[in-house]
Amino acid sequence: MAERPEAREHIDTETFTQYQAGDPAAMREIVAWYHVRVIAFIRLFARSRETAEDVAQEVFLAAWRQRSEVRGPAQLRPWLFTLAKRKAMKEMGRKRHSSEFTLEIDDLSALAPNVDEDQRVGLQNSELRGVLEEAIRHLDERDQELVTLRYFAGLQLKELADVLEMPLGTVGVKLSRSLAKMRRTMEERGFRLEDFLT
Amino acid sequence: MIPDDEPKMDRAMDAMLTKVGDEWARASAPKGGDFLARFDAKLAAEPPVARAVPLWRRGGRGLLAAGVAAAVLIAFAGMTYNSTREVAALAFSEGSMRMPAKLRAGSVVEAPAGASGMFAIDGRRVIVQVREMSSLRLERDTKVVLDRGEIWCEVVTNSGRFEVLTPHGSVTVTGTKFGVEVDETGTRVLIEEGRVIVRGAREGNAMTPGTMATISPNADAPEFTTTPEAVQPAWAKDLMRRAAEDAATRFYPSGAPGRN
Repeated sequence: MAERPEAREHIDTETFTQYQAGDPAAMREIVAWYHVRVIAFIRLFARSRETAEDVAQEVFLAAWRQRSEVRGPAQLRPWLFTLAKRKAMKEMGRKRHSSEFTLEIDDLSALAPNVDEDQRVGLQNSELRGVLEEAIRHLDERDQELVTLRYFAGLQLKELADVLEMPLGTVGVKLSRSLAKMRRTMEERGFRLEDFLT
Repeated sequence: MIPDDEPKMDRAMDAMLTKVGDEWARASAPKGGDFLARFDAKLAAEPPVARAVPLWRRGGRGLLAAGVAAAVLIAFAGMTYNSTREVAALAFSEGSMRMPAKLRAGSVVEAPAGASGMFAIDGRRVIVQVREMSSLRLERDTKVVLDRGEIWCEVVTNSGRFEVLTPHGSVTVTGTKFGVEVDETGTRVLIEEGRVIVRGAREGNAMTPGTMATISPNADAPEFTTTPEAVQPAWAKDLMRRAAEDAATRFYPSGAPGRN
């Protein structure tokens, strides 16, 4: 399974202890550490970058006020994304978001080093983006949540199990099924995945 | 037990979605340090934290009520104190520095062309020299926001944290001599002594003498290059020398010993 650099990182125990004791410097450290992924996750459902940033501000403020609820440094990140999802849904004023999922990446050409320049221009024109959005939308709501938390929030499988309250094995099985389903959707639209890989 | 016909993890899909997720995070990263600065302002407006004491040690409702009342009073007094106390003092200046008479949290200091100054922050724990054509804001006695220009800072070793925010990232130190320069092309950080943490919009790393960090606009992380070890810029050395001469002249109005 592909690893992303920050996927293994947690706030260190000392910073976490200071955060729970109410040290604003530790809270700032946590915000600096996690804000990019939190904003990215909220932005999947928010209509604008500004709204996503506003909601993320509320998420971190809630994380400051409710810090006694977190059990340890390893639980902090999953908890932040649980807060983020709750706040984002509240802000968007709806409980279901499956039809609203948007992926506004301007340039995905880096994903396709094996295709020629003309095709890359096509990718930049959001063809791949549209197919990816569609593949994710074709998943049921629970699987969408699993996929977005895994790949856009950057959570590890163990963290996903905590957030979604599922056994670790179930998370792995559901993720495998979701990826298989997404691949089928993309191939039905004429996208051969191997073209997009280094 | 997982059935045998269960699909194996599709590594190709996993790799592609990981890249998409990373690209999405990069595209969603806030520009500059605005997000962190906004959060700082919100955090500063939060009531100070009273030390958590378990209820069973508080001796009943009467004591609990007294504790709450005391916490409110302390919070109010703390907020008032923090908003009115001076966090820095001007030690030396040349030219027409623009700044309030008393430097409190939130005070803006501007050094236009031909002006420069030197401040002592938090007693004399941090000395900040400000070059001409610079603008900065004193957030509190542990933090300065440099909007443009150049500063040279000296922080007493093991005296606690000090931070410089710029539009492109942040520099965090716990005792060191370092310089920060900001213009439209980015932020550059030089260090003469100690160790600082330099952050871009997304990632950071530690730097030590012999290194220069550059944070380009919208860069996820700073870039580090090698520099000569003695890096204190000439303008900062000259400013310090003139400040020392000025202090000596004021102490010995008729001329300092050894000077004609």
